[in-house]
Amino acid sequence: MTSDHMNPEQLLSKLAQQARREEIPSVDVTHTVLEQLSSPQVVSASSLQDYGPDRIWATAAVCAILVASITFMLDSDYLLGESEPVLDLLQTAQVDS
Amino acid sequence: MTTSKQNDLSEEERKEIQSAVNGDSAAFARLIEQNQQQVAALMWKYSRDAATHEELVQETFVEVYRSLNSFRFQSPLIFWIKKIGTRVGYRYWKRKKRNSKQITLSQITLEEITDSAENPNSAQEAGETLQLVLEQLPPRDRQVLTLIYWEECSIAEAAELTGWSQSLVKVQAYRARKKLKRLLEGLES
Repeated sequence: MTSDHMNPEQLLSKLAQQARREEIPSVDVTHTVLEQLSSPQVVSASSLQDYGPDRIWATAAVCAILVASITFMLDSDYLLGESEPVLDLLQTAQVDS
Repeated sequence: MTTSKQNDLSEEERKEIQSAVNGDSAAFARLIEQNQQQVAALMWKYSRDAATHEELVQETFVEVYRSLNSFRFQSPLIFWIKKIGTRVGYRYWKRKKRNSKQITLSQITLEEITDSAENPNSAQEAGETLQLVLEQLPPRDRQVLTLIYWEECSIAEAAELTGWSQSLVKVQAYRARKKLKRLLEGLES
């Protein structure tokens, strides 16, 4: 860079000094922000408050169904590989072939 | 940077923030009204497009709301909000860098840049030139130079705003200035 040109630091400082005098467009986002926050996708600072009782009950019901299904499967030995009807079917299929 | 790190929150401000944390939307609305011009001034450095600029201000306040319960009253609220704004702006630059075609410095001469710095026709022209110059750098370099030169942050403040260590800020600023020097030298040749 030739001596008559500014180095990057001087250039940035000078430009920034001028640019800080620029008038910044005024904004008013209050309404849009509050509107956006009232949509259910946004989780509030106080977390579950925005979700309402219906949504919480629906989640609880799905969890209860899942727990009941798993309990049933364990009780009926379904997950332990001792499901008699399935073995019977397989043996029948082998005999048939 | 104009924001002092001194914690000078009044009891009234603390109550207002606490009300907003507890879900009082009127309190949060007042909080936006009090701080949005300072946030707008910060976000103007990230985008000069009016629509994008407004979106960035909005996005900042949505994130402020989401994280308000983690505010520890250890610094002025505006400093904490600016910390969020800095990250929102940085994310925007990273997104933009991936999928946009920018004006390159080759379309402007070094003479024009220097003239704009020494005898700008307006503050707006200086702002446009400054943004054009910084836009040529990768987001990390641009971030550190924007904060140090345009926002007038100290190394400690820049570190706090970015979440980087102070030594990283110094190293990043050094590298960014070197890259900028090479860019400007390229224009001269």
